[in-house]
Amino acid sequence: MSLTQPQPSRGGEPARPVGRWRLLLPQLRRQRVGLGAAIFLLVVAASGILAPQLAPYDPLRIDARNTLAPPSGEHWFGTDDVGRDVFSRVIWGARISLRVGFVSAIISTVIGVVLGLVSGYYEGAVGFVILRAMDLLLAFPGILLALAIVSILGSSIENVMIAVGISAVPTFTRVVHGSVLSVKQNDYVEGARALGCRAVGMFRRHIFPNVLAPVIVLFTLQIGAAIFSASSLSFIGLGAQPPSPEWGAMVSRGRYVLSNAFWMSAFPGLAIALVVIAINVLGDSLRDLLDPRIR
Amino acid sequence: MYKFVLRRILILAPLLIMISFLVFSMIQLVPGDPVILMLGEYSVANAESIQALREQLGFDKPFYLQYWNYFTSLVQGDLGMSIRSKKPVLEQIVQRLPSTFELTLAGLGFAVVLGIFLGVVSALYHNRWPDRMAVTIALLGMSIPSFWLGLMLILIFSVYLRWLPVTGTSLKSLVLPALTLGLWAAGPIARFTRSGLLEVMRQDYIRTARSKGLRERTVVWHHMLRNALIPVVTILGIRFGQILAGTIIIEAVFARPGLGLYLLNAIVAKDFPLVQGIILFVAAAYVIVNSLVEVTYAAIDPRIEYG
Repeated sequence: MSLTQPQPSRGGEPARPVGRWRLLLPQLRRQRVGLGAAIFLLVVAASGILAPQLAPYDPLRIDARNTLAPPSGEHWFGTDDVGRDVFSRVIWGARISLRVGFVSAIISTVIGVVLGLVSGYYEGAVGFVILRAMDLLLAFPGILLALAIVSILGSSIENVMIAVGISAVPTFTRVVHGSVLSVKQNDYVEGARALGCRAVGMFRRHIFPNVLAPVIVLFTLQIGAAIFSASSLSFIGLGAQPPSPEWGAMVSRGRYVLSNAFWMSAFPGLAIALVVIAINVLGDSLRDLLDPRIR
Repeated sequence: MYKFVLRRILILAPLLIMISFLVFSMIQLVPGDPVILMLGEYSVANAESIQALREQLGFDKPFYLQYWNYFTSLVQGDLGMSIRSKKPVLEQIVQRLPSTFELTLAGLGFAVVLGIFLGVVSALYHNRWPDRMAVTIALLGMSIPSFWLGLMLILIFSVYLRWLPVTGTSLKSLVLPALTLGLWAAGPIARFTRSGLLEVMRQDYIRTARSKGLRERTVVWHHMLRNALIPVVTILGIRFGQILAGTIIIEAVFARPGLGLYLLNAIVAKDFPLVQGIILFVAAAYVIVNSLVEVTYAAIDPRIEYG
């Protein structure tokens, strides 16, 4: 099916070319797993937003007579060591984790994309300095960079967002840089330049739309990676502080009573795992949809 | 080849210097007075000890001189003194290194074996159920937080089944941490192996090998894997770094007395020279290993230009 072939028109209406969405639809149908992941994430997000209405108990209310109660009809996920309802805390935790994921992924995306566009467009000294700076950040593998930043800024969930956000900047910069370099090879970019197109117009009209697809995929995957890293930092005590119902912090608190109250660690950890799995599945689906080159 | 190695070293040296500068600057970026922060509640009112520590750390000198002193001692293998234990940082690192190194190697080994196995299964049964299963295992491994997986493994194998100890220094106590770490790191290796194999399988020489009447096993192991694994080697250096950093979390879960747990304690204790020393050590180890991997890669793949 060609893009420009006019569709048979009805009732004298002018024929329209097949739209982008029309083309995407059959492909969307093939991404059933990705669609399922997206729906699951929407449910999690909605329950996080509606936590005050949905959670059966106050996530911070201590009940000294009802500590470490196993899962039951009254407390679906049991209660923790000070009698707080684990189910309610997991629902409230969705709020925290999704916010952390979004905010830090936005930090990485904005800084990373700007640096990638600039370093790809101005290949000379500016590009060199930016790329070497990224190499330097990449010298601190995995969670080490975020850990270093948190040890400077101090332990709090806000600082974790900044730390995790910064530590993923090089990934975005490198991908965008590479895309810009390949886009620049195209004749139409050369043509636009010959016609006197300024740098800003060039970014907006010609370069940015072309690097958008990989950025959307990376952004999605980064939300999951950020939730993963942030909960790890909270687990080791450098992120969310008690009594916050952050999932990583909840798993951490539960490990001291693991052998007689597994539910304290098991359920919040399961929540992290399911959300990160769903985001990764969604990211992979988006990649298949938007970026057929890397299938 | 010599030229290539030389060039890697020429890239490595400025990178190491920049790393040392960044790690050194860490303490300057701490909001507030780092000396008071380090002393904490121990001696807030004691102006003398504040002054003494400030002089010990060289904070009374200008920034560039501070870095110069830091750098020159670094070159001589002096990473400074821990504020809490008052012992040389390097000595403390070396003491805890074997445990972390052991865990890193075991984790990497398990990740490579599992990752390549999953990748091979995936590619050979492309789009059939073993492929889907292998891809799912790889995805789960990457997505399940290692600290939680570690705890759940402890719960199953140590608490309920009583097969393996939770902590300790025996080889048996290495099984669960290495498994946790390896499962997490196997995912990307599996994906690389899978896509590499799928690429190689389409090549003409594979068809030639088959039409020569070679056994399928020979074709897979000798003709396909050899070429498909070359790109996998390049990501091993990166995986090594991530596993090394991952030990920080795993050591906290399994209470293993390694470098990672030590770093966490140092961060909590605001022992900045120790924090800086460990972070510098890990970053330097990572970039050096990465360079070694690249040189090895160039050595095993004749298609790489050394120039």
